[in-house]
Amino acid sequence: MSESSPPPIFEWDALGRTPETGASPGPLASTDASISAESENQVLRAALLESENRFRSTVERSVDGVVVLDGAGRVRYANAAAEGLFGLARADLVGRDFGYPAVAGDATEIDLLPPGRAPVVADMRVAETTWDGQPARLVLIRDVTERKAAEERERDLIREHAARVEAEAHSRRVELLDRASRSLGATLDLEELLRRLAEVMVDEIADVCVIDIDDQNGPMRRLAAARRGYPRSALLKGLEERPVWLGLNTAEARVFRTGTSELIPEVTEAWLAEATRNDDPAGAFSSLQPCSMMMVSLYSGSLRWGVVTIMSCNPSVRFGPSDQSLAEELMRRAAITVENARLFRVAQEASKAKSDFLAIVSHELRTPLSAIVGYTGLLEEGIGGELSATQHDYLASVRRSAEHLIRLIEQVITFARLEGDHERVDVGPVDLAQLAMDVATLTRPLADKKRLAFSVAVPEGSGAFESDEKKLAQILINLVTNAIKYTDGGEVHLAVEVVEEEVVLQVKDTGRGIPAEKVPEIFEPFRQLDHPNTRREGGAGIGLSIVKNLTRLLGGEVGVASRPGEGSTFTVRLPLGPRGPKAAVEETAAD
Amino acid sequence: MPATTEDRTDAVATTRFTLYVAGDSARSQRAIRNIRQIVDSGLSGPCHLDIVDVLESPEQAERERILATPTLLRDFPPPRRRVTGDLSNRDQVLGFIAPELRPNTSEPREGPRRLGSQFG
Repeated sequence: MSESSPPPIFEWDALGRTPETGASPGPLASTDASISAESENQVLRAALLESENRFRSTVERSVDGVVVLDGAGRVRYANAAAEGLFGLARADLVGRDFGYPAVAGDATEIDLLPPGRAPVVADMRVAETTWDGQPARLVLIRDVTERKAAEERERDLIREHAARVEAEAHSRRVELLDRASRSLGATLDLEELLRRLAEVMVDEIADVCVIDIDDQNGPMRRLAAARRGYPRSALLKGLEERPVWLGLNTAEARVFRTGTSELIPEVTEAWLAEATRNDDPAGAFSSLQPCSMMMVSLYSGSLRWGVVTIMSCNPSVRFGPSDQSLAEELMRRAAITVENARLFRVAQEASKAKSDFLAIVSHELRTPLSAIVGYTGLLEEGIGGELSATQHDYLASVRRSAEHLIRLIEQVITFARLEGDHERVDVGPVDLAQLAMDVATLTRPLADKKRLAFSVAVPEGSGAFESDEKKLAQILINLVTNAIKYTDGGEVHLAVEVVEEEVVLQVKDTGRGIPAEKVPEIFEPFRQLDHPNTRREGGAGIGLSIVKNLTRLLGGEVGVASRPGEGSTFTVRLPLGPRGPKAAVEETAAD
Repeated sequence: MPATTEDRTDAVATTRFTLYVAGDSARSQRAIRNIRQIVDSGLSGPCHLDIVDVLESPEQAERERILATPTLLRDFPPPRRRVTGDLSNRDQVLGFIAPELRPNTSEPREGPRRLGSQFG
């Protein structure tokens, strides 16, 4: 070792020993030069010793553990801090096999195992050095137990917080989806559906929700909603008047075309300028000053419906990926409902077209039939000349059949008008007792023909009330003929009365009855219960359906109580007063 | 963590290692992962690895006079040597503890020696 070069750090032991093991001071020299050299040497040695002591005390006092390991990983030196860290006296530490200190990078974490104490987490750093002239490793060990524990606690806290936030967000999402599903599922009307969708969005996550629906040609139909009390909601009108043309390079049009949702966590001036470059003459869009936006496409299957734009205008509410996935899920559900609504509308329109067709055909059939009945009557009266008894009989037969046909057609027309929403309520004074007697007169021959007892109970002096007499009569006729049709022995009883605020019409029979599970079906059109007499009973199977629809039109309801083999009782309850036909007539006045 | 034993082969000249870790900390997991990678990377001779959790088996750590963990010990063949600290550098670890196991090629070797390599 050259004494002229500065001693490397941690070679103090070697340094300290060099003078003893190396050239020991020779006999005193007598020359000036040698004296001078000797004293110089002593000065140097003293300086070196002082330097060594300085180093030693520095290392000794270091708060970090310092250990020197030889080439085999054995401890050659340990400072006071290392004694504390390892829980061992220096004498016990020196000579122990620590192992080759493997460190990747600057430092590595290890656990020290002081006997009888909890492990100490430590940072280990290693530097190459020499010891007794041999390559050695200087190991610096710093206790980081508290730091690690604090980190661990912090991590736990963060994890806990994140878990709580996630759980809250999750339950909020589930709640929102549930609410949205219920709200959306409750309607099949497209406009209503979109309105509700927008409402759910502004209630839960957005300040403004704009829905653009593809109208096949032309601009998209636009519907906008804002949070209640939202200060800029007046601007929405301008927004609704700014339609999106799909050909344009607007963000909405892009989302619609690609079907990929877009999240703009932070809406910048530049973004707004770019987004509204092509069409925002009125500045409606930017005047809402959105801070964060999401645009999600509405599609079911391959069919694209539209785009929903959700805006937050609150700088502290920025949308993130979880909001985006929530919105996507919401739109997916909404799209399903939209599709259902569309299918329902298509089906409804088809059904209405059929009803209209039915009404027209029936009307066309009735006109010539009226002529047949009329002229048959004239012939029967002898206006066309004297008739033989046989001719009379034949003509009577013709007239009866024609009248039967007319009744059937009337039923179909009524049914078609009801189905097509064309039936109107024609309110006038009705004498309930008289009405019941008239119906009885009309239907008694049918009962007589089947040898059924037929009785009528009417209230005394019930007086007149306001309703649609023709419709009441049709309800009663349908119920009575239905009862007679399905009763083979026993009796049919018709009772009408006014109970409190209701008109109650009741038709009781001792017929074959209706199995409980079939009850919901009997008011469906074209339905005759599945029994051996199916379709043998004649009629179109729409009598009870008409009863139901007429009753509803008059603001009432119809029910049935029945026991198979014992008979059935049909009861119609119609409200008197404000809930009655008058109210109903206003509702249908648009027809 | 229970002590686990892995036998790479039944051959006589098996090199036996024991990895000492303290508990189930991230340090322990990282060490176990690293040593698994070393063992699985293909060594030129058979080896056997035990893993000992010093918190569960302190007497074993005391017997071996383990000062710190993670420490990997070569139990057999002699001389007994150990590596303490980061075991991520395969060449560094093997170079010190079992240079004879370092295959000539750095390519991981596949073969029957991988059989039975299961960690708990």
